[in-house]
Amino acid sequence: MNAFTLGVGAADSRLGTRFMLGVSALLASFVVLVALVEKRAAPFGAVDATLAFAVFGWGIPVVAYSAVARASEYGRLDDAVAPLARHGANRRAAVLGVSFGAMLRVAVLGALAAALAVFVAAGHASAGVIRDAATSAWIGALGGAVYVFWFSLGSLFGRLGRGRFVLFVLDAVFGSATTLLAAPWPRAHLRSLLGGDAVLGMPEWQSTAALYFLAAACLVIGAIRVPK
Amino acid sequence: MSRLELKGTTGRALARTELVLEAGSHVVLAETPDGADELVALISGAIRPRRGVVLLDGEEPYRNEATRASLRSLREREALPFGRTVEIALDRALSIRGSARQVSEVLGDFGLSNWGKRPTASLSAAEARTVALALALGGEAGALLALFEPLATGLPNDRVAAEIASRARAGAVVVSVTASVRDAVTLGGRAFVLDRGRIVRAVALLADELVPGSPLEVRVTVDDPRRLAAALAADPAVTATSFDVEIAPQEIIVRGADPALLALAVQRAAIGSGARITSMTRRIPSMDVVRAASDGAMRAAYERAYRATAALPAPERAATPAPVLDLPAPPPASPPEGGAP
Repeated sequence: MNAFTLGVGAADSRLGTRFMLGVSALLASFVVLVALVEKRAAPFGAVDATLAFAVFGWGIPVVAYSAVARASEYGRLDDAVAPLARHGANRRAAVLGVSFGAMLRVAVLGALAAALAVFVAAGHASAGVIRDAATSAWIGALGGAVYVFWFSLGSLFGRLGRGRFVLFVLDAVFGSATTLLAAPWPRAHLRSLLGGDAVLGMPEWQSTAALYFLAAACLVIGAIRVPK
Repeated sequence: MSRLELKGTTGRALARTELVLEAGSHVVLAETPDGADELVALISGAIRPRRGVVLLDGEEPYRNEATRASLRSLREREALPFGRTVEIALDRALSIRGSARQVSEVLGDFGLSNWGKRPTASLSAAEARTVALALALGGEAGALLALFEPLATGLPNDRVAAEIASRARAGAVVVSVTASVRDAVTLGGRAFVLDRGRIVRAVALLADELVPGSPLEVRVTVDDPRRLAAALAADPAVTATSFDVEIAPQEIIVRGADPALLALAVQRAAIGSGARITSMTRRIPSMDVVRAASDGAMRAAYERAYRATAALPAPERAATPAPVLDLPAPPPASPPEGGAP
């Protein structure tokens, strides 16, 4: 069994069924509650408002943060693979494995939460709504994956991996803008993909590319930072 | 033959340390706030030094997976690789190392066969350390063993001490970190005192070396301490005797300068007085006493350097480099002391 697979296994073990069920239940409750409130307040903009606030504004970032924190055992991600690395496992591959394991779970949750938000806020399941739900689910999965890699990178900095909290706050603050300051933050590009304000006037395909680039950059920087 | 080097190694608690350890048994007398567990973590490549490097045979364990695979370690708090049961967790560890040994063999060697099916979550902190030590000592011999309090686990101490000695003889560098002077004496080898993050002394594990200048003390268990004390009073090898019939009615503490002469004096007195001795052990100084002796040695070195510098004319004094504490090279390893006569 190679170190990457061991890392995925470690993520599986730490993000067990109980944790995932708890997080899913909380996320679903939050999304449904916000969708119902939005639907009552403004039926025509409820889907967009729910996605922007409940799913991509808070839901996915918080779930990704919790999953990475848990997978890192609430410390640094490179320290969290010490039980494997001390016996000779490649630390870098193990860290990537843990991130990948967490990413898969959060991406699925992100997709489900986005689809749930569309259906509940729309209140019916017409062909247009299903198409919307599928698009939102895809963006939700991408958002979940990017956030996990983003926070995984943060977990490699600071005592007890507090870098991930710094990234969480900075994303919340700067990601809301549309200027150059917003360009490095996933929140800004996800908002753009949902039809919100574009970052520096970038079209949607460029925001998608920017998110892929961010994920890749996190992996590369993380790999450089963690020795074998 | 392996070789461990700490070059300017600095951690959170550990101050800049320069140390070279050749194959053999080495004991570091230290407590956790002094950097005891951190030293084990640094040596075993679990954490990165803040400054400096740790090298095992020229390779950094933190950065080299193959070097880590040849290390065996025991930390203050142990975390086994993930796995529902102890068996699965240990199997993962052994397969990462590329070990040919089976988990059942490793656990069986130490009488822990029935622990294999236990859920890892059910292990207490002490039990996790016991399993980790079995894993460290049970697989193929590594190039280095870094062990935190190896005689404070659930495994039999004599077995652990024997395994450690055999690894040291086989050419591994064994670094045991303990706060117990008694355990250090049992483990034997070259000893260092780590005080507030600094290696302040290299000493031999003999009572008169650990605490220079203090009299040697022997605790004798005897049927009539009063009679034995009276017989010892006239012996020139004995500097003092003491006993407390209320606290330890069968015990007498005998002090003297030379261990061999003291033991002979006790024997002579027992034969002469007819007192019946059941055991005789050397009293091992406590960690606090060793620390105080280290402080005293450092203070003496400072005073000596100060006096030597103060006697110089002003220009030469200004040009004199700062004094460096000269750590005495300890004599070769000696077998553990004490025991029944």
